[in-house]
Amino acid sequence: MSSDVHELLRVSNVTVRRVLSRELRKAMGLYYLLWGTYPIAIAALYTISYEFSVIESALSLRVFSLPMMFIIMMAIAMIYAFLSRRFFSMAYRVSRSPIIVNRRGRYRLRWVITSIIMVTTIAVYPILVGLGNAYIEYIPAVVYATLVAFTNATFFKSGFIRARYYDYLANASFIILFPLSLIYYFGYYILSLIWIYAGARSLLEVISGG
Amino acid sequence: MVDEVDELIRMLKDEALSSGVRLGILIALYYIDGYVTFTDLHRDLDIPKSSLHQHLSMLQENGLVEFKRGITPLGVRTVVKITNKGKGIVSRYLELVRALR
Repeated sequence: MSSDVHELLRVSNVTVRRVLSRELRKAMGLYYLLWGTYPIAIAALYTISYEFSVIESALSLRVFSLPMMFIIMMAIAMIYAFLSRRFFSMAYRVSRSPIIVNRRGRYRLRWVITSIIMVTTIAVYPILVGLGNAYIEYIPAVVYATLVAFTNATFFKSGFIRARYYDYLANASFIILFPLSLIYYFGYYILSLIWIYAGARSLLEVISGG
Repeated sequence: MVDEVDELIRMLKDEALSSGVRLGILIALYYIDGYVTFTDLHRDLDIPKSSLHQHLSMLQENGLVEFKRGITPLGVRTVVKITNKGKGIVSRYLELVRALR
């Protein structure tokens, strides 16, 4: 191929990288912000059910029964997942692109870090048992949280964006706090704050062009 | 292999794709599969507004992108979106690049 074609391809790759790095980071930021509000939405649902419990009992209604609460929570989760779909479909398409920048190395490092966090978190289980907080959902919750963290890594697979400290913070805190939050509910609020922080930092990165 | 190189070179000789910036914008829009605002593109590419406008107009004239005023969460902005024809061309381009690797 002539040098003109090489130059054209070089410029096009630079252009793709510039546009996609910004759009991927923006998608990542919106994703963090979106799911950062999920515990708040669930807390609002519980507050509403509590506030309405008096009216419900006065009118002999059972709108906020336990199965109904579960259905509403699942419906909210489905809406959040639907909204996240666009971010992930873009990240997945980019990750399969033949125009890839430095795919190796950093991805392997993420696997190692995530595995260490997962193993460490599972190692906490005997301590929880010792404290009288043995519950069966803990291990599946760790596995689920790890799967979420691995899925989040799709954003970085292409190498168009670099994982920042707030990405590690958001994902590591999710693996550690999500299973613990099943007993210590305040964990959800800490997670929420961390994810909103990561989202805000990501969008600031986009604005500042970092 | 030779056929693929020929097809790629033919594709890149097309007036709309003969610029690296235009080709890059088209590929990026293909991956985004939604709209991008003119302001964002201008900020990303760091080229004069008039040049960017020319590139986008050229892509629009060839039916590869839609370039119009649209409603966004931040208000009315000029937005750019890839068309089905544009998607087909980028898809073929990526197939060729993949085959050549």
